Amino acid sequence: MSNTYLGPDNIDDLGRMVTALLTELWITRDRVAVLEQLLEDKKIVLPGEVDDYIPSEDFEADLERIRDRMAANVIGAPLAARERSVDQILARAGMERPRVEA
Amino acid sequence: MTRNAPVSALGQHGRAGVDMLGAMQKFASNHVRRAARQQFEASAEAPALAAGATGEDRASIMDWVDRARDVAERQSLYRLERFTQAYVALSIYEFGIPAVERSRARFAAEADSVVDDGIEVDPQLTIPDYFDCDWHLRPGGWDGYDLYGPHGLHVVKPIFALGGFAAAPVGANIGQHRLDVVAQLPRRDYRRIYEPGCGNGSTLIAIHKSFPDAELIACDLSVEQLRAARRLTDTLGIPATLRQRDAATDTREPDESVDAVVTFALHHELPHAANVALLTEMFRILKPGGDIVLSDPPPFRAIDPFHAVLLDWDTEHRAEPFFSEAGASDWGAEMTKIGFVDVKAYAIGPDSYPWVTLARKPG
Repeated sequence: MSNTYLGPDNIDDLGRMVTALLTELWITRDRVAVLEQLLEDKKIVLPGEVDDYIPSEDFEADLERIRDRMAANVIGAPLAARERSVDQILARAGMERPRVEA
Repeated sequence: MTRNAPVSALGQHGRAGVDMLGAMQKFASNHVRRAARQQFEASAEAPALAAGATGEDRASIMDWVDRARDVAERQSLYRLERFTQAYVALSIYEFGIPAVERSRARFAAEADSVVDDGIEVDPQLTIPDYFDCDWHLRPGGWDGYDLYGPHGLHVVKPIFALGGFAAAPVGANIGQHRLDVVAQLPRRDYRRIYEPGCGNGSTLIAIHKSFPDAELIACDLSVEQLRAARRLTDTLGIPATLRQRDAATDTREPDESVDAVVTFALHHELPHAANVALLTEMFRILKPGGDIVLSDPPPFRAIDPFHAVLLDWDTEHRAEPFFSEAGASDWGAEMTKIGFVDVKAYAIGPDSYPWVTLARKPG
């Protein structure tokens, strides 16, 4: 199958979609800020505690895994149309299926 | 809107991602497609295309679709809508397989041997060459991944439940479609009902709801799909005999042994000759006076050129190698040649979907 769909006259469309994503990203960022403020107001976290937070080794590893998955989903998107075996898809997600014992 | 999909068994990341894929497809199929249609219909070629194909033979119909596709592909909104469709179709596997793999422990709790107990697997079955395909862009085909059963339930179904893919319009309720198709059968006293190509068993639910006392027999080429069907029928307490068979060659059912046959979204998955062979086999196993109802996307002759271009697109872009071949065919005419009588073909939903063909074996 051809993996090419958009033409030069779709570049403006892509620009509009990226701009819309900026709005959606800000809505989510704003919501996180509101939640932080509410947590501070209710004395569940202290002011600056989120900024000063140092992840534990285990949590840092969790964050790295989540971050890598997000990077793979975005940076790896062009590969999705080209390398399509189940094992390639799982490898991009940092996974593999259980090996069947002979 | 009421969900036509189970509560997700995926983690938050998987569930949220699947939900967003559904939202993308729904919006593109609705608003972007409507605008793309307007662009298409404003083209200089639109009036001539709206007059239809120059003949009723398959070559004339495909020539008409080719001319309409040339016009559509020049339109930016058509390309944008198709880009989104393609992105979602690919992401169902690119995003969905890791999402399911992450929950493997949840899905793998039931040993295959237990599930297989309820299936007549045929290790000697000759799988036809055409079946070697990454159907619907599914890596490795129907049996290419042991978790395709839960993948179908927790990734494909929540996205498809919103409609807006292939022939199903936005808002289409596929579960209701199955009930509506089964309801076309004219009698209520069938004792044995057969479904070739049962896939994951979703249509068996509809048949059982409409005919709770009938014995259900179903077949498929794919063992993984039969396992998914067995899990579904067991969960819902639906008695059904599931057999791995090639319904286009030999179901191994006795002559004149079933009262009715139901097919749902099957015929566009087979080459034309296999479809004719399958219909001939169904004629053999049906009792005299037995009924058959077929359901598939509408034939190109029954829809407008823009709609035909959208359906034709699936052939190359959604790994549906026989989609256009089926769209250019006339199953009612083929069934008449085989010997069926009282053949009727008509749409029972918006956008001519589902399209049903109803017929009877004389007797």
